[in-house]
Amino acid sequence: MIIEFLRATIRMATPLMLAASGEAYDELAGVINLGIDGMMAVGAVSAVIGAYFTGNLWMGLLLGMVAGGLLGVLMAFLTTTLHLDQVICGIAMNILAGTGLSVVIYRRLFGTGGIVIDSPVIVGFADISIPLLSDIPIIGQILFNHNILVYLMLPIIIILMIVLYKTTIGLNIRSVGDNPLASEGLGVSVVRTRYLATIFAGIMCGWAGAYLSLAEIGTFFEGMIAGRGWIALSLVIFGQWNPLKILVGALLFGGVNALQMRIQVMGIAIPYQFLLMLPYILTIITLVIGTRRARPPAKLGIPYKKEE
Amino acid sequence: MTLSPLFSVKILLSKLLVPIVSVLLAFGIGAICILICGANPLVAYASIITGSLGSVTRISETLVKTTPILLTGLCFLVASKAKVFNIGGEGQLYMGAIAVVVTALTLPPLPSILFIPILMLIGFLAGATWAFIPGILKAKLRVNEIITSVLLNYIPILLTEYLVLDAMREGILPQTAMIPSSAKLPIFISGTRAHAGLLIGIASALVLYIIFEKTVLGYEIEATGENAGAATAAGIKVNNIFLISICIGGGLAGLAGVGEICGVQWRLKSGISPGYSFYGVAAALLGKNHPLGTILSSLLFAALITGAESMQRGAGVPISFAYLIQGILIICVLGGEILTRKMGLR
Amino acid sequence: MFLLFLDNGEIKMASTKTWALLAIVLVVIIVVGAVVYYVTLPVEPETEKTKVACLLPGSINDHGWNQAWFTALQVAETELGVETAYSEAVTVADAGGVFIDYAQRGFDLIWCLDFGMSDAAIAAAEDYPESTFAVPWYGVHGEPPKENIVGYVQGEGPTPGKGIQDASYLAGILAAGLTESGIIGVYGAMPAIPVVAFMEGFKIGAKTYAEENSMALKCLQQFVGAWEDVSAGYETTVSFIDAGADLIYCIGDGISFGGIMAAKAEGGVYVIGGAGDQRPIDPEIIVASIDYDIPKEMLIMTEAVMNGTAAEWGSTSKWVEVGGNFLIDWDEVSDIVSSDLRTRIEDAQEDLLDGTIEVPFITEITPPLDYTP
Repeated sequence: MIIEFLRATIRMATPLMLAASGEAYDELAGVINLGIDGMMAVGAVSAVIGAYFTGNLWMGLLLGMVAGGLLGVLMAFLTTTLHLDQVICGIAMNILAGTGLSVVIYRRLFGTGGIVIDSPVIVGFADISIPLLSDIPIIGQILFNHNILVYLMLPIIIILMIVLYKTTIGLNIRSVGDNPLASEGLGVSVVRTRYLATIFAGIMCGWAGAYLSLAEIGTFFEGMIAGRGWIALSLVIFGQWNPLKILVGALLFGGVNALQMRIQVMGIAIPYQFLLMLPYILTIITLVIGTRRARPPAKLGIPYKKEE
Repeated sequence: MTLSPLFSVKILLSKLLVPIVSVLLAFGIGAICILICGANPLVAYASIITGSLGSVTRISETLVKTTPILLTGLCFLVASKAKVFNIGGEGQLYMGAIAVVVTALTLPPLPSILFIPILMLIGFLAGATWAFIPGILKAKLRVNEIITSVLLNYIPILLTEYLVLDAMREGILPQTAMIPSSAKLPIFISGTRAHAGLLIGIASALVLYIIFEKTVLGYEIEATGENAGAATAAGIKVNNIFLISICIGGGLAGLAGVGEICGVQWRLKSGISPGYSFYGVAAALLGKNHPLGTILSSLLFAALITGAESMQRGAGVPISFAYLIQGILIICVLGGEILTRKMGLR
Repeated sequence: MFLLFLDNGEIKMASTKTWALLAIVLVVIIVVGAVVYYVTLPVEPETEKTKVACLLPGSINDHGWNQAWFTALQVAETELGVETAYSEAVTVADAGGVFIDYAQRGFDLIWCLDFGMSDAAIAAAEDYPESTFAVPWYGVHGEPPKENIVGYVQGEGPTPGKGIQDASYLAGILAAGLTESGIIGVYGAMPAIPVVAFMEGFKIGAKTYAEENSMALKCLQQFVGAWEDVSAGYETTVSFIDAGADLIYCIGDGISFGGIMAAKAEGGVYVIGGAGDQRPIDPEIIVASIDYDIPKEMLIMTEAVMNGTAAEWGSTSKWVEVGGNFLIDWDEVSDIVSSDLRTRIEDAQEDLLDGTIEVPFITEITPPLDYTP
């Protein structure tokens, strides 16, 4: 029982973690992207399209990431080149991509229903048990019995942490968000760094969306993202822009979500809406208890203009 | 003293230019997208215009949407002047709605002249109270208000669902009883849904304008937003300003809830706001964070949403296109700003 | 001479007032042209055709409620030759305007397909007596009769609302009959009346079978909180399976799809579909599906409007005469259902139809079932 609960926690945390990490990079470079939901939706539908037409799940994942990346390019163009207000662009992106583009693409390719068979249903990534490791009692079953995308999370987090804190690129990203003027003076191209960060965020959102559609469901459903983008946004701040801490936040949120489901199943007589409130309340409480001041990048959300 | 005619024409031109250039941009980009996806851009765009402004009924529908967008826009505006970013307008709206319905159904039906102001006050207080939470967490504990206000959105929405399905359900449908007719806001275009909530919205914008132009409070809020450190040094109680600004904002969102309940739905139900507050944020930003500008930008967004939604019926264009065009138009309205500035006309 | 060019990542523009004027003129021409073009599009002559419209809360390819009504519209178009239209993603906030819009466009029958829109439909009915509005559950609790409002229920049957819990009653028997672990599960989106009636009817049917066969039976239950969150449906089913369930009954659109995927991933778990004919999604996993013949409702109502007899349907009780239509389509039931079980269910069906059994219509959720003989 507990094992399944913990496995479910990891499953639910994965897409949140992916989207939030990308967003963290973006925000560290000074760009806030509120359009996570929309990018995830486009990623989800592209992944299904890719997997359906090539018959290969990895191509689907790749297409999802590419689609997210393209939206990232658009976002970067609007915010970094045109200096448009980042908040509105994000909101517009959600409307444009989430409820608009993703559905338009889906219906264009797969028709408008009428018969169920029209919809592509793909056999998604199956769970793989890692031999030996998954035999470890309890821990083995919790950690080593997932689909491959979940396993990839571990190397990704490690890479993200290393890049952010140990490489020049990571340093550039962080400095550009805090003090773009100084960075420029030191020879770092603010524009280029922000473009890279935003495109990266788009790719990660695409990946998160692809996870949702490919890892469990095997198809695209309008409205399937269900607001996870906003949760991811909160997790970025919760985790203080640090991928490892974001992981903790994602697990916390996923865990409470998985918990409230099981509480319901046990038939406890609390109206279920209150159980649904748990993840949000607990996240806030944890934030309150655990936070030293979470300092955002100094120039977050402020367009960088060369002549200033 | 007369204004030189040249001066006023230039102002007019430059003010109109932004929406005009934006429409041009949007038309171009949107048309390409729409063509690729197999629909007719001319028909689509024309039906947006006729769908939002083409008849008295359509205009009234646009006005109905303007009210909540305007009020939630002002909600975001007032706090953002102090550099406090309240993205919790949705939750604050629902809190206002819940409070109003509970009050309206509990109190004996009073005459409108008393009832409506009381309900407005209750709605305002409810929204302000809900906004107080992220406010105090920011002021006392330095917890980032963006995350708290977003997370707190979900609670009133879930609470609403509980109330309409369970605690306050009347009959078989998931909704509460109807509020007494003296609690309903008067409809000012008969035969339509356009209600007096719009006047509440415009009045709020005017009040905010006066606050920011003429009062010490407004000055202090703006000073805090400019440079909190300098403001503190100048003797402004910055923490209090954070709280006041976010609470006023929450109250305005609560008024949006009042508008939706007393003006449109007359009962509490799930889904009374399909995300108005997000358009509100966009409207505030587009209105250059100016209360009066926000009135215009709210109108613009309301027209956009109304027109785009009616494309399904007017042009047979599916609603997903409506959202696509909305997104493109919003971006282009932004882009039009920049473009006009680059052209040296502002 | 470039109008705009990129310089070090910045956009610069050759600026003159002439460009501005040109832009304004261009836009005005285009906008006016577009409107003129649209307005002068050859208008279809006012046909004598009856016009039917549906206000859908969701999207037409959700494999559930909305898709069923979309299909029904197509059926009406083919069989009755009516003109149809639909609007998707109609929110509670917008519905009022949409009803008015359809009424002004001269639609004769307008379907309100979500609870939250009912008020708006009734209000529009007042102002537009020429159009008939179909409102869910209308008349069940003594609403005053109106000439142009008709009531319908989700899954009609001999008496208002009877269809839902009866269909689920049969599903419950089926579930209890099929389960090998003795644990079954049911989930829905939220405790709205039909969902609760579904779940309760299911539990009653399952308990009946368990009592008859002296078998221990547990029925888990849960509300997911949304109609479309596929992933949440998936996770719910996983938690059911984790608790030992091997048969799931789900009521919802996207969420039932998620449940089906979870059952598939696990293997050895079966599903009864509760949101229209879902068997085609996966005939192996889905052993049967409750189908509430929405096209039939559509046809009955449309014909009534065409014949001018719509006013007779002023409350849902008219559906009594139409007879039950909540049954399981036996052509569509999986082979794993033994013939004994089939007979048992067919008997139950008979009893329901002739009134021998009455399954109560329950509107408040009761605790999960836990039966030991």
